[in-house]
Amino acid sequence: MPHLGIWVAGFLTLVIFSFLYRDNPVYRTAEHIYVGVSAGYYIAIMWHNVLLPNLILPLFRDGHVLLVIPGILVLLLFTRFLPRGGWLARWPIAVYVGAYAAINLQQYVQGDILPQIQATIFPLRRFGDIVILAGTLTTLSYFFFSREHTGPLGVSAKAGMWFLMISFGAAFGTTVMSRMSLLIARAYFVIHEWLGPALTALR
Amino acid sequence: MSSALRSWGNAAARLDRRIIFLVIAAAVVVPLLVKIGLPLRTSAYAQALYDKVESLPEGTPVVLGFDYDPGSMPELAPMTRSLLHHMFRKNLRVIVITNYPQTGAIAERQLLEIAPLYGRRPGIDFANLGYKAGNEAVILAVANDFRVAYPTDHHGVPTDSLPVMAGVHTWRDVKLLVDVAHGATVNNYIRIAGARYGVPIGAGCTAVSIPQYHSYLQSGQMLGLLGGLQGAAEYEQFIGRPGFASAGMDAQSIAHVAILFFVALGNAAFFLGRRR
Repeated sequence: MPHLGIWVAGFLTLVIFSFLYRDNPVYRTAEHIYVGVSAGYYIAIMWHNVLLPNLILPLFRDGHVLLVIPGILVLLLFTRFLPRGGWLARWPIAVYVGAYAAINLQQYVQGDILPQIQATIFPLRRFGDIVILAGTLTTLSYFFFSREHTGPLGVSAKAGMWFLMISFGAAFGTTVMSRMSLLIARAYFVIHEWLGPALTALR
Repeated sequence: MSSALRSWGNAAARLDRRIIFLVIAAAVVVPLLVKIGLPLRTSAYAQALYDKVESLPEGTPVVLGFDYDPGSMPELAPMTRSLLHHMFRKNLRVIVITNYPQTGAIAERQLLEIAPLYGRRPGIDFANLGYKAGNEAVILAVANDFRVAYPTDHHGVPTDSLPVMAGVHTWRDVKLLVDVAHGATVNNYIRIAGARYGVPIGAGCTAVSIPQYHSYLQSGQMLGLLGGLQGAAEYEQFIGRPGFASAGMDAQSIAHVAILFFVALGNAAFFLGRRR
């Protein structure tokens, strides 16, 4: 017989699916439970896996006094909830944005942009390589707004728009595939982990 | 005739969406109850990742990134499970890391479930270094030493004391990095571990992310990719351990046919319904 946790999860799964018929109070209760549990779960995870090992313990137990600076920056983030002095929250955000930009600027150019440009240009050995090059150039031309899209530029921009539409279609198709996987997992759970074992146990 | 088509189009356009939900539900549930066994074609990119793992000699250090949360587990957990089976069967030294604070526990559960099947022991044959805040900064810190980025493992044991980490100091000591991720962490590994330190990189991703990673496969920055439930099912087939992903592929295929039907029906209804 499945344990209590499986029964609760199975019941809540069906309650959430009830929204597909129409909105109802039971669904809204389950929705609120989900939001509350998620928030509580993430707060606990963040406390135990982020704040405690990276700030609280090193600062107060191990005496790494320099951690006072990021500690203060963390506290400044919460000033936005105060009636006055909310502008102080911009300081930690500025530090975060600055550090992130500094770390990533070089990585993006060296590890992403240049290899991608190179791979787009060289080598043109297969038909697919030519399609990629044509797709890149025509799509770039679609986003060139300094001239009216007429003549050769218009043709190129139109082709670029088609490439974009095809890529959106691919993205939408794979998104549907992903969402179906989630539905399949829930159905699999209900059939093979909840109702199936429960019915077997009852027989 | 034209008026009949138009009225049919209008009727189809007014189709109650709950009928669509019912058909999709049936398309998903029936194949899970009755095994159909539709053929599964494997992709070259999944094969490339399998071949790479297969080619590594015993004792080779590999890094497996667990970068997903419970919301992405249906697609990604079967991938990490299959990769762990394969890596432990090959007796590789498996180093698990994550960029998500909640995923260290998910990784630990899978490790403790799968490793004993092959007689692999924690700390000796594999290590769960767990989560460390910092994303790109952590990946950069590993370039100095794993011990700098991860002073302790998931349980607080000093990384330096783990036998599995002997001789593994920086990215240059890692012979393969596979990141199974629902977000952009794969890109970070490609940009830093791959581009700067030449680590061969493979990935597993949700189906949503497949198009974005194809550019990295085409450029050679990534050697292999498992995409969505299908990628997971492919790897289950490669290692000969069909699991949830393989069981779900019949439902996936039939649900897609149902969706294609409704897309076609919707378009037909739109064009016929607006005829004047």
